Amino acid sequence: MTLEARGLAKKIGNFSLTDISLACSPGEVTGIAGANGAGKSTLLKLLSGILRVDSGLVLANGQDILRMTPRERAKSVSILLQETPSPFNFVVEDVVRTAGYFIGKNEDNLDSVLGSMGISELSGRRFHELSGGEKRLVMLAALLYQDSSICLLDEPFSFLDVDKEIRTTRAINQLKKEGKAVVITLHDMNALMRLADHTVLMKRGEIVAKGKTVDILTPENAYLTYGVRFSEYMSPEGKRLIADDLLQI
Amino acid sequence: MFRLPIRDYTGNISLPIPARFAVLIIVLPVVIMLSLMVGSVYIPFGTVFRVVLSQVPFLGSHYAGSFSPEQYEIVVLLREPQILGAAVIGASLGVGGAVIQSIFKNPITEPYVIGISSGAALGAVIAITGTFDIFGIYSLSISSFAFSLLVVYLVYFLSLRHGRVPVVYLLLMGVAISLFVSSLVAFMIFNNVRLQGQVFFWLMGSLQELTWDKLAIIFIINSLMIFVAVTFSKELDAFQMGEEYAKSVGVRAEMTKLVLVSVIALGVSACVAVSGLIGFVGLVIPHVSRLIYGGANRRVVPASAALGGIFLVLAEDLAHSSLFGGEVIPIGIITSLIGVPFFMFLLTRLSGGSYDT
Repeated sequence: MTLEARGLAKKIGNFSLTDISLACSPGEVTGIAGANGAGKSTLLKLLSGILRVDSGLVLANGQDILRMTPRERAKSVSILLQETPSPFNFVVEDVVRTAGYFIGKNEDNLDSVLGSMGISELSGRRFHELSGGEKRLVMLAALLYQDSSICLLDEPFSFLDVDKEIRTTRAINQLKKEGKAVVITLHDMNALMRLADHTVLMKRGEIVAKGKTVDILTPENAYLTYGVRFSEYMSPEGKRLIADDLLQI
Repeated sequence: MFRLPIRDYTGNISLPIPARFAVLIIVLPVVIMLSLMVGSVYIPFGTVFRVVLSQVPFLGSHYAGSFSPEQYEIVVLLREPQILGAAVIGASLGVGGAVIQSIFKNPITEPYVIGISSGAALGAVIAITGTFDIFGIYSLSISSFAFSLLVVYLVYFLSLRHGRVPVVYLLLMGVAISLFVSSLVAFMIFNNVRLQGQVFFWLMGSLQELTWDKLAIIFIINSLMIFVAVTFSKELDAFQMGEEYAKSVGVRAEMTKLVLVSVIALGVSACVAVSGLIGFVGLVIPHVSRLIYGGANRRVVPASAALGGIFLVLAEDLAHSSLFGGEVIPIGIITSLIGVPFFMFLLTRLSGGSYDT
C-alpha cells in the first residue's frame, strides 16, 4: 500500500508545519530527519491520522485516511509513538494485545511476534518494571502485531542498547521485505544511510530537501538542516557524515 | 518481608486468576447473607436463610411460618434493601472509578471528579431547603440525580474543543466546575442554619433511606452501566496506553468517551441520589482490583464491581455495629475510616513495589 501526503499543513500554537508532500511505496523505507522541534513527530502523527491536518491530504492507497473509520485506518496504518505509555499494572502481553483488539486479530501469532523481537521471555512481566529499551521493543512488537501495510516509526532507536538496535534494524528490514511502506524519523543521519531508501530533511516545519538518501545526505544539505558544518568520511559501511565541531572537541 | 500468597499475577502464582475470581463470587453472597444477621436485633443465620428462601418463587411456600412476622419484616423490609443497596452502590462506585481512572490515565481520579458529587449535592440541598418538592418523598433523589447529570454534561460540553473533548480539559473543567458548584452548596447551607444537620447527614452518605423501589431503580441502571463498562474494557485498556495510541489502534475515541462518561454519570448519579456521597470506594477499589487481578480491564471492571460491593456491605455492617454506641453512623465516614488504613496496608504489602515507578 502506498502512502502519499499532499500539501499537508498544521498549526499547533506557535509552531506550524507547511506544505509537506511526500510518498512512500510498498517495500520502501522513507526516513525523515531534522533538528529537535523540526516537526518530525507532528508529521508522523498527521500521516497516521491520529492528528487531523488543517489542510492537505494523506492518502493510503489513494484513499483519504481521515475518511476511513478508525478500524479501517488501524488496519492500513500503524505508528510507534515516541512517548512510552504507562498503563496501570499491565503485563507485556496485555500491552501488545491492545494493538490487535479492534481489527479482529486472532491471538495465535502474539507469541511469534514477541519471539521475532526476541522478547518471548518478557511476555508475562509487568510492563512498568521493564527498562526503557525493553519497553520500546515491546511497543515495536505491538506495531508488528497490528500488521498494517503502512508502518510509521518515531525515533525507533531511542533508549536502545546495541543489541536492541540490531533487533530493531532487523525488524525494520523485515517490514520492508514484507512489502510494507515504512516511514521512520531519526536524529542520526548515518543510521538513515543504512536504512532509508529515500530521505526527507526538515527544518522548522518545512521540507529542506528530499530524494534518494544517497543523493540527499550531503554536507551541504546537513548544514541547511541543522545549521552545523559536516564532513564526509569513509566507514566500513561506506560514506558517512560527522559534525566538524565534534571532531574538534 | 511478609507477602500474601496472591501477591503477583505473574511471579510465583499460588492462586490462579480464575480461582481469585471464584473467591469473589463466593464471598459476595456469603457476606450479604451474614450481614442480614446483624443490626439492632440479632437474627440467627438459619432464620435469615429461611427468610431469604421464602422469597424465592415456587420454593417460598415451604419456608413460610418457620420464622416470626417481625423477623420477616426486619430482614426483608429493613435489612435487605440496605445490604443489597450497599452491594449495588459499592459495585457502581468501583466500576465508575475503574472506568474514569482509565479514561483519564490518572490514578487519583474517581467518578466524582466529572461533577457527579457536586451536582448531586446541589440537587440535594435545593430539595432539602424546600424549594423543590414536587415529587414528594422522591424529590431529594430526583433533584440530586437531575442536577448531577446536569453538572456532568455542563463539564463535558465546556470541555469541547473543535468537536473533541481532550481528557485534560475534561479533568480540569470537572475539578473547576465542581469547586464552583460546591461553593454554591456551601453558600446555601450557610444561609439555612436549621437544615445543616440534615444536609450534613446526606453529604456523609447513608443507606438508611433505601427502600425496595429505590433499590430496583439503581439496580437496573447500574446493571446497564456495568454491562457497558465490561463491553468497553478493551477500549479502556487502549485508553490507558494513551489517547493517541488508542486512536492509532482503531478506537473511536470521542464516541467511547461520550458513551462511558454518560453511563458512569447515570449509574453513579443514581446511587448518589439515594445514598448521598460515599467517598473512598471509587478511588481505591479499582487499585485493589489491579493489585490482585492485574491491570487489564476485562478483569479490573468485574473485580471492582465485586470488591466494591463486598467492601460497602462490610462498611454498612460496621455502621450498624455497636462499636459506635448504638448510633447508626453515616457510611461515608466508615468507608474512609476503615478503608484508608486497609488500603495503606495493601499498597505496601501487596503491591510488591509495582507502584514505585
